[in-house]
Amino acid sequence: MAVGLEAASTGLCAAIAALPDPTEVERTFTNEAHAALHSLAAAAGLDRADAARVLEGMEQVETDFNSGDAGALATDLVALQVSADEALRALAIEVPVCAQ
Amino acid sequence: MRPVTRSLPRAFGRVTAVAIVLVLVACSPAGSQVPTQAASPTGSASGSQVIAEVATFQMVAGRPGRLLVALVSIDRRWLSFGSVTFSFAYLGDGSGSPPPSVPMEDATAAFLPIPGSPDGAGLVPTLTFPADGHGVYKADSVTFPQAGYWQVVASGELDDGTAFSADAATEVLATPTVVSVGDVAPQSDNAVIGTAGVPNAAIDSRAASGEPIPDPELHATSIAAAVDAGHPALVVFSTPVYCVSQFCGPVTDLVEQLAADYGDRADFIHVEIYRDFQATQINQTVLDWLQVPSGDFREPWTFLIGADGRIAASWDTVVTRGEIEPLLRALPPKD
Repeated sequence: MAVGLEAASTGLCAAIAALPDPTEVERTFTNEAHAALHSLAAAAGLDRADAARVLEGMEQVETDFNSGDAGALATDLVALQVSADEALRALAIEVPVCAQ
Repeated sequence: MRPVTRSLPRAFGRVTAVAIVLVLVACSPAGSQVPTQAASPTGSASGSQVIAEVATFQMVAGRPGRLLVALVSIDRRWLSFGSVTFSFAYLGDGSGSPPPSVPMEDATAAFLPIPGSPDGAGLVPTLTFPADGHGVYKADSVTFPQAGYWQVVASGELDDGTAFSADAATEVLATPTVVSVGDVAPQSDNAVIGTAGVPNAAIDSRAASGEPIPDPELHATSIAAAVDAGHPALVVFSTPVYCVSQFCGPVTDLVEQLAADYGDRADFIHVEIYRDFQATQINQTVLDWLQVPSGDFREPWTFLIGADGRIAASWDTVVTRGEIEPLLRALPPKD
């Protein structure tokens, strides 16, 4: 299990791989991506626009968990991963390749 | 409204994995410094190093307070359930002079789950992934005898019998810097639904994309109006979207649930932190209540204002229904 900020991306990979089972997606997101995404958004050197995209993307995904909209969840997870990867690049952190 | 320069809170850098877990706990204001001798994590549990971080935002010397400590492992599991022991050592005033010995009794700290997480009743401390257990350890009525820097050591035994110990440092203030119990509540005229010229996102960050403002019952009354009416008020300061710790959303949801149950006894108010996150504009009410002399602030905070307009209780970081509900239940119906 990755333990650096890269876990924001690898955790989202794992959550996307768990689609379409919403329960497993939420569990994987919570356990493997959530904390790292918060840390990524708070990272030194990340500008507020990039941080905002990550945090707003998280909020959208969490809204999808509550609404049960599987289609929106898939779309929003992918969008969040794009935002997270952009934030990693902005911090000069190599974006990990999705293993799934 | 005045703009305030505020960078996103920074984790205290140790190693990358440690930085990740520390930012979970609390928003650490820029400039916060603790003696380095207390900053190194110690202890191991089942091969996983346990790291402690004090989650309480404000402890004041000579005043009993609620001390919260988060315990996490470097593989991003949280120590959950049961109880642990806190012990204390005075580290000095930060001047570099050798600190005197200041005796302080140990305290027992019980697991305090983030609202919505399992409480693990009957279980002993266990390393859990967040979906299975997520919270901090709380000792009530902790009184630090002297202001300065203190080492807090959390120790105990895991479910497999392994002993663990982890330490962290915290600053204990000589006087409070945030509105405190007994103070007259600042009569802030926070924006509510319908306030002219205020974007929805400045009332609740979850309304940033044009959605209706969630939890409208938390945005119907200002603090000043509640105090003027002689109503008790439960006020939560939080930013559900832009929170860097993981606690704002669950605490805001808890206050919304309490509003549904006790709306006949008190007013319930959510104050959003940011007027504009990207422009780093902070809502004035947040500055009135939470800003410390360094210019920074932390969230979430929850306050109960009494019918007399004074602060009756306050909770920083994590607060649970079990802590607030007895106080609400004791209130008479509103006029």
